[in-house]
Amino acid sequence: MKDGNDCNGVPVTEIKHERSEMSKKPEIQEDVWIRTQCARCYADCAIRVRRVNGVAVKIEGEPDSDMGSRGGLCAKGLAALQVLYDPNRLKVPLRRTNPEKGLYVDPGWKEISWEEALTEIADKMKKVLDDDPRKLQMQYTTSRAGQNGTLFAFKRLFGDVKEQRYFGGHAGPYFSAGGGGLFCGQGAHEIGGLIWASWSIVPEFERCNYAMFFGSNKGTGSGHSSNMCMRRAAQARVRGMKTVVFDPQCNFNSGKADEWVPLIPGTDLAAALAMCNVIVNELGIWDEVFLKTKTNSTYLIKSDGRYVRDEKTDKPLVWDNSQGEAVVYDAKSIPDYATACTIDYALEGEFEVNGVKCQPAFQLLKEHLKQYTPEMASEISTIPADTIRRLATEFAQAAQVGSTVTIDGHQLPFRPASAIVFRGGQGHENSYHTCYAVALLNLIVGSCDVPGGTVGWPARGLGYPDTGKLELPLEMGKDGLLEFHHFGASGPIIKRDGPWPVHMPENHHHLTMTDIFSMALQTFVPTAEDREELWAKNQVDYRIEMLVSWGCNTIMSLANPQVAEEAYKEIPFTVVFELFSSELAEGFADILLPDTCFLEESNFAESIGCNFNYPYGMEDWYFHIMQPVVEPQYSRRNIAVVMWEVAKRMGLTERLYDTLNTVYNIADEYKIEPGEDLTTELVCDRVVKTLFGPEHDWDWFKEHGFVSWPKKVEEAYWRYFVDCRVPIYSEFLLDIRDKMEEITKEIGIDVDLNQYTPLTSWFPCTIHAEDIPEYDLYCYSYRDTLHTGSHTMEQPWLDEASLMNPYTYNITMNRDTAKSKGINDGDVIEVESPMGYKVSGTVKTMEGQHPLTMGMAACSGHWGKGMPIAHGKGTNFNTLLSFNLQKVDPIVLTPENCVRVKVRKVERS
Amino acid sequence: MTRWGMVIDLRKCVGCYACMVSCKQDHFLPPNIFWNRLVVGETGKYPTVTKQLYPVLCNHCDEAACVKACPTGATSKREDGLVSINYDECVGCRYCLIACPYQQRTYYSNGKKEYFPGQGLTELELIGQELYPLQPGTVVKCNFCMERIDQGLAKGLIPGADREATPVCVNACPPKARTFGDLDDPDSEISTLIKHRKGQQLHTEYGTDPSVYYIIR
Repeated sequence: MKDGNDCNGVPVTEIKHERSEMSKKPEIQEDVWIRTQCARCYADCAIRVRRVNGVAVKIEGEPDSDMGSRGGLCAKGLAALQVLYDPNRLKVPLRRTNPEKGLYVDPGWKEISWEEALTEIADKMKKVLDDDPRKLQMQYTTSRAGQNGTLFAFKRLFGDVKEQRYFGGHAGPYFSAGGGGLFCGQGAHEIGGLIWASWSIVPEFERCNYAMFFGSNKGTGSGHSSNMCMRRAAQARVRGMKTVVFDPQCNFNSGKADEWVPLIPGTDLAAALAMCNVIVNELGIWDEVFLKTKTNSTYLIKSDGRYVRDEKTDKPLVWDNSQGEAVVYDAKSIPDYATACTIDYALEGEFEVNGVKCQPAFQLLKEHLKQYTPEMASEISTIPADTIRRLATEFAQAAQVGSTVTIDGHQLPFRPASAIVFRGGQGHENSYHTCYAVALLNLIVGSCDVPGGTVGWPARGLGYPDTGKLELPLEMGKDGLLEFHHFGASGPIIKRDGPWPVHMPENHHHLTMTDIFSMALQTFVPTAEDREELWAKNQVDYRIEMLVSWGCNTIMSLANPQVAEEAYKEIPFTVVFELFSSELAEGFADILLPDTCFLEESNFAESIGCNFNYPYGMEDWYFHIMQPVVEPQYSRRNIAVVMWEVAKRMGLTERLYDTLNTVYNIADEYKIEPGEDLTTELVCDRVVKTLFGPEHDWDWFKEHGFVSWPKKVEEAYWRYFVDCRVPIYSEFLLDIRDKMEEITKEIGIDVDLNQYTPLTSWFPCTIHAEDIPEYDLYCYSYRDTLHTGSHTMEQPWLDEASLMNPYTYNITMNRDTAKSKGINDGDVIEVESPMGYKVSGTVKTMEGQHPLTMGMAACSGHWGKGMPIAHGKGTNFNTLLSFNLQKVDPIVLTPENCVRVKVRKVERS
Repeated sequence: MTRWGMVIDLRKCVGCYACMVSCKQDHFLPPNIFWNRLVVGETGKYPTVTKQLYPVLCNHCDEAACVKACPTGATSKREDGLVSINYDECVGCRYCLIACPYQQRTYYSNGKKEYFPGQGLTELELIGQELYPLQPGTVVKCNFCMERIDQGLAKGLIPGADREATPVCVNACPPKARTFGDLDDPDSEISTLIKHRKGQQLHTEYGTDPSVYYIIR
């Protein structure tokens, strides 16, 4: 019997058993541990996998890395073994033989050769791209987020795309499909980028004493850095951090909270604004140093809402109290906290500059907030006014404005209070303003990227010490605001623009309409109810002719399937790369290709989510790689390799090599030369050598799994080390509004431009304003900790847990509400939206559910044949949603994730 | 003497089911057999509600009802407190299932039950049956990862401190809610936790003296 070695070279001995049949044990020829990364959600946790006799038998969290739980791993990650060995996985390329497409249509799959598939894809794609690259749509999901780079390379490879921007545009073939469905963090990412230079935000759990969450499960097994957050939040709870969670349901984060604050979906904005008002106008608490030096609070605003600008430099002016005159915002350089403390620009008052009357932005904000009384917010949200007032007070006091802490010789503000919003809070027609209002809570008390406060996934990096690579610079951009170019997953390598400076709306008649909605990450238009109307009005003279979909089941996760059905049917040629025959594939794919699973892939990209998943706060920098634990079986192929082959067949060989070198910023000495045998390992090797030097080649990484280096205070708590500001006043929205007004008038579409206002304001959603009393409940979907997107219900271990859980597969209702309707646990109900969309499911009543709401776990209700374990489990919430221009946030295009419904008990069929 | 025990900190547990799934994975447990489970519920009345999460497993009781109930001696308590089952001596009478007040025992009847019904055993299930064979017709339950403890001790490792010698559910827990160690050692981490954070056993009224403790707040 041979023993293997683990990744440290430490021998791993065979498993011993308590039973007496040791003699019957198989001969162990191989027993090794392989370090890699998980990809069952977008958290990219570091893992190690044990392989015995060629079979992956065990996964655990990597104990030696902060990028995860330091040894622990959630059930979704553990269940990856059942993805790898699922007999339902696609094995060979398949072609649809049934010419009919549609939701429940049998595709009549027939096996074809790779040769046949590649030839047809290359031919079709060449025709489409020669005609108009906009006719190609490519989509993927964030559980393939590390492969973001791969997809971005496709965008450059196949499209006419020079720009590297996240927001707006989308002229070429590109359409990311979003993690948890329904455009996951649309508004949250925009505000995350604008205020924190980060994809998302989190309390710095090590020092935070008071964390307030609005519809976010960070710390309880969902979201970015899922396992890392679980580890750090748990420690914080034991340390005594108080957690307050605004959520219609007392389940995940709310279930762990010290205080659960139930509310009506989409009213988080009202509550957050009222708390801002209490803090500023009732308590008179704000962080003067922060507001004066780190925000545009001091910028002088004219009566037209615009900045007062310096005539010569066009820079916004501030009022310098010490000089008694207006100066440009950067008249004094503010390189550190000590200097910041000496700045005395006016936050309040009224001034006259060059004959123009003006006020500092903060003065306007302070006045503006007065209308949002706790009483008003209470009426909207149902949260008692006293509770709002008390929580605002607790939050503001917990922030300890004025206190400091010294870390590694740097004296910094200590602000141990944090307010966080994510998918639940932001999934509404007021997404942008909701995220902004929560950001304001942090901005007012100065708890941004300082010890104890709200931090981004590390936005600032000084680079890997030996090479200086992976530097993540932050700079003072236009009007003194925070600018950076490493946004989102793969940002550090691919260099993508952050939200500032914002793009102005333009109309190029794209069917995505993200040229017009220039602050949107993704678009609802291609699968909307009113798509033809919008396209007709906007004179969109082309349609999607080819869809390449990768690992995402958008018919379930991103749209109302009944509405999207026609849209997908209209696409003449659809290619799907998948692990399983998904609902999207069964209904609409012409060619279905067997993708590799992450345990069969080489990839550096899973690690490059700086704004995504690198350890935040003072935990060190880590860079992990993904490597195959087993070789792909049958004729499964990795999408990158397949698409490279397609490119070659399209005559794009030269462009392919150039694209890879450019997109991955490969150093000159490691450039991939035409003629070299292109493999994922080769690309990975060149990238890691570029970043970490020649001694850290791919073989080194395969052996060690990751590299780490210490983080500095200037990186973890960068706010006072970077002389730049963030907006509390969105002056830019005025310019965008003017342009939007022009465009929307011209094409005759109705967009609520009132939301394009510089001061964060309460905007009700359609669900709040509709006068339809018989639709008496607010129905919404939520992320269950056991599931990511729509694949995880296929893994039997997760299915067993979901069946054991009282809520996962059921529709949750408040117990008294259910009782008043004669509904009990286990009853089957039909849920109907005002548009007549209907779904049914089994009820589980809860005390921990707001009486006016009901919840369903997202992305459930599989109907396809390709995932038999998932089939029929749960209820598909999205089927209830209306998907049109009036049901999205008019700034960032977040679809409304909640719908008014009525319910009735039906007989179990 | 040593008495192995576990503390589960409910302030840390978030109900992610990693304990349940890691246990199934490590012991290659067949469908519907759980040595770790998670009980989810709520108490209180809207809006004052407390979500309740109780990860449960064999309590390895000092006064184990199952040991007393076993007619063949297959279930026994070791000197280190672990309650173990010798499958070769178990006749599958299931008296212990009824005797265990915590319902932690399962009768394993069918060795051919597939995770993907009707599609055969996967490579993972097949190698699992070889690497960690169970005997159909016997009763199974959590064994505190006895094999890891025994092997670890043989190598000079300390269960609870050294990962290789520690139960898998303890290692797998993302929020690190579980602590393993020697209850008889007053200075061990778990003894300290029980003392300072008021660790409680489940249903002390049964008089079984469990080795698993819960920290409620």
